Order: sequence, then C-alpha cells, then structure tokens
Amino acid sequence: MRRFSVLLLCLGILPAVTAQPYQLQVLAEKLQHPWALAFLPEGDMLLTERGGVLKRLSAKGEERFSIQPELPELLKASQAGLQEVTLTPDFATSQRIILSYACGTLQANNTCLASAKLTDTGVSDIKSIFQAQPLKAGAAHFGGRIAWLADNSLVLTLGDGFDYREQAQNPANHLGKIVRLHADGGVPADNPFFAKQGYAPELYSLGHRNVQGIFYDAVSQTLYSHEHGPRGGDELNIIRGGVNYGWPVATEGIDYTGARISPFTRYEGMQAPVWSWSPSIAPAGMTLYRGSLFPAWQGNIFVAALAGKSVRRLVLENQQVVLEQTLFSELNQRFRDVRTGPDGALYLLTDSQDGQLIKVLPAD
Amino acid sequence: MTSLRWHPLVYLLVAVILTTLLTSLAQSGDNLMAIAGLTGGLTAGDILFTLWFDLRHFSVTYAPIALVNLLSVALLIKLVPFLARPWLAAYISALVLYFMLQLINSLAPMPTLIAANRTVSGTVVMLLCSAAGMSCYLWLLNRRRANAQI
Repeated sequence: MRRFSVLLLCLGILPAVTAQPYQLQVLAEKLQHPWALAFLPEGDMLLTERGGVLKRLSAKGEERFSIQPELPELLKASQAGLQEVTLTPDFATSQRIILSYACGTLQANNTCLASAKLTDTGVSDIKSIFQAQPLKAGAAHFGGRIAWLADNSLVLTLGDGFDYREQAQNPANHLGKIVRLHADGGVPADNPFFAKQGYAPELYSLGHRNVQGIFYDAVSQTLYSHEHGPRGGDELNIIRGGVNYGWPVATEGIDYTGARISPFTRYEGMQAPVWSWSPSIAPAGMTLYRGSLFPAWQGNIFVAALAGKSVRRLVLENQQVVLEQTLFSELNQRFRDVRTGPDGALYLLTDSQDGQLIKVLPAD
Repeated sequence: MTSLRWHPLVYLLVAVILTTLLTSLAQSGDNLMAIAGLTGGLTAGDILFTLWFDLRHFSVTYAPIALVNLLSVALLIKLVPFLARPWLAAYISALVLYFMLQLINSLAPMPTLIAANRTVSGTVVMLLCSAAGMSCYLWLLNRRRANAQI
C-alpha cells in the first residue's frame, strides 16, 4: 500500500516536474543592469536600465531609441536608479507610461513615480505623481515594482530603506509598504486605511522588507508578491488589502552579521508567507504564466533570482506552492526580471553590466 | 621566556573575547528592544534564546572586527608608550572602532552592516564595549608588571 501511494504521488507530480523543452533566444545584450520590461500593443518593448536609460526595442530586439528621461531628482547610486516601466490602462488613447525610480539625494531619498507620454523618439510631458515618505538616507531597499489591479488602480511596492526596518510596522509612513494609487497619483477612497487616523491613506499592505516582485492574476483575482528577506527568509506572499505581513517582527531570516532580528518566525495578527526561501535566492521579479506556448506551465509562478542565479517555477494548488523547479541555472546569470510576453513566450532580464534580454520559446 | 614573549597576545585574546561577548549582548539588546517596541514585550525565553543565538552566530562575525580594533590600538600603545594610560587608551580604542565602522559601512553593500550601529545609542554602546576591551587588556598588562615588581 505504501509503495502504491508513493507511485501515485510520483504519477501526480510527474507532469509538473517533467522538463519542458525550451530554447533561448538572446534578443538584446550589453544592457547595463536592465530592470524592467513592458510590452507595447504593436509588439515593441520598453526596457529600463538602472542607470536611468529607457529603451524601446522591436519584437526582435532591435533598438528603436535609447534615452535618459529627465526624471525629477533621479538618484543613481548602488541600488538606486530607474526601476519599473508600465503602460497605463488607457495607453491606447493616452500613450502614457509610468516609471518608478529612486529620487532625491543620498542623504534624503525614497521611491518616486512619474508619468510620461511615449512618443516615437522618447518620452515627453514627464509629471511627478508620487513620492514615498519620509525621505531617508542610504541607497538601498526601494522596492519599485508596479502591478495594475482589475479596477485600473496601481499598486507600487516599496522597501524599508534597510536601516529603517522597524518603520515597516509604522502605518503613518510608506517605508516597507505596498501603496495603492490611481494612475494620476491620486489616492483611491476605498484604500483599506483611507481616512483612518494615524495611517497614510495610500497604504494597501504593510510589514514588508523590500518587495521587488508583484503580479496581479486577473484569472484568479489574486495579487502575488515576493520580497527579499535578510539572510534567509525571502518570501512569496498573497497580498490582501489591509494585511500586515510581519516584517521585521516575524521573519525566517537573520541579519547579515548572523544576529537574530526577531525571536519570531510567525506572529499573531501578521500574515505568514505562502512560500519562503532560506538561504536567500534574492527574488527580483515575477510573472504568473497565462500564455499559450507552454501549456505545462499554465498558472505557474516564475520568480527571477539574483543570488539564486536561476528562475524558480512554482506550481500552485489552491494558492499553496506544491512544487518548486529551478530553471535556466545553466546560464549562470543573475536574473532581474521575468515576464510573460503577449506572444506567450517568457522574457528574462539578466543583471550585470553586460545584461541580456532573453526570450524563452518551446524547443520545437 | 616563552610566556614573557606571548603574554600580551594572550591578554589581547582575552580582551577580544570580552569585547566580542559584550558587543554581542549589546547587539542582541538593540534588536530585542526594537522588536519589544513593536510587540509590546518579550518573554524571558525569547530574550535568552536570542542572546544565546547571537553569541553563537553574531560573535563569529564580530570577533575579527574586535581583533583588528584592539590589535591596532595595542600596537599603537607599544609604539607610543605615552598612550598606555587606561582612559586614553580606552578612548583611542573607541575612536578607532568608530572609524572602522565608518569604513566597513562604506565598503559593505548595505548602508549599515551591524544593526546596533544604526542608532547613536547603539553605536555608543558598541564603542563602550571596545573601550572596555582595551581597558581589560591594559589592566591585565599592568597587573602582570605589578606582580613582576613584587
């Protein structure tokens, strides 16, 4: 009976772990720390580099333009720089995009959002629409990923600024939070803490460390995110409005020095992660696959890992991870982002001074 | 003869261990106070568990820092005997650690490597631990000299 159970278990898992044959096409190279990718309706792509460059590429990777948008107070240092690019929901008529970036000085900075109009040669009409508060020192933990919810509001992930981790539990500011905004930077009146005394109205969730991956799955109406833990304790979370995700009270990680940050890995009233990684893989971008080219990957989450030098495929059942598979480790690259293209291919960004944009297609 | 040649190093080792243990306790206290401030308190078990954890893990990271800190001051005292006054040496040790922490933070990928070093109070306690270690080193040296004279 025990052998039979093991056999059944193997048969059940087999389709999920069987290697999906794929081929890799390098669409662009010599990218300097590419950070994010967005797909334009006609097949082109927008790509950001951390150093402040925005590129428009054809579907084959040919460069249409490469510019440095004049973003207000753009800060370029260490982890600070240009981050996310995304199209507004009304892009077809407005041609507007949104960029996230670190802004300010080394002594006083945080994450900013700017809206701009995309033109044939670059961007115009750049408007600052949000700046996370308070301004803090240091060039670490900016978050910076954006996802659009079903109601066309956006959620922006933020970091704790590294030295200010306790502030992730302070609801009066934006450090270590996910905020929800309108496309013009306005605050939705149905935000979970809107008009609540002592709470920043933009807050959607709190208790985060450095969230660099977020994806809204319209099919399951679920908002997934992942965040960097310290030494260990990287997390995959399902984000719900008004929920506290625990950092730094509840964490499976410890300080880089080996010191224990908190005695708690779980804490009452704080949401535990759906999945965690110890040792850390440094998750830096994610997608949930709903494309048509890889039927075996349907509904799976893909997480780009910097330290893990791979992309992690997570198989979910009832919003629980039942299997993890390591992909693309043969490239021995740090992965900054992974996206699903409108053509059903996976797109990868590798993180280095000589970064690449790689398209993943079925082998046949 | 051998013990005469090596005893400063043995005393330095004792001082490094003392400094490391004190700093580990200070680091634990700093993190625990921060968490207690968020949760409203901690049990004795949580505190003891964290203290013990940090003694086993944080100490391994900090011991080389304490060694470089105290060794550099010990060599300075050897070169300039005038500095071998307890309060002066303790002050110099704290000062050297302060600049070491600045250097470490400028080289490390994160703004501040050691959590206790994030705040003025935590940094001051770390400097006091360094001063205590140097005081211990000088006390051991002076005690040996006094015993030798007797």
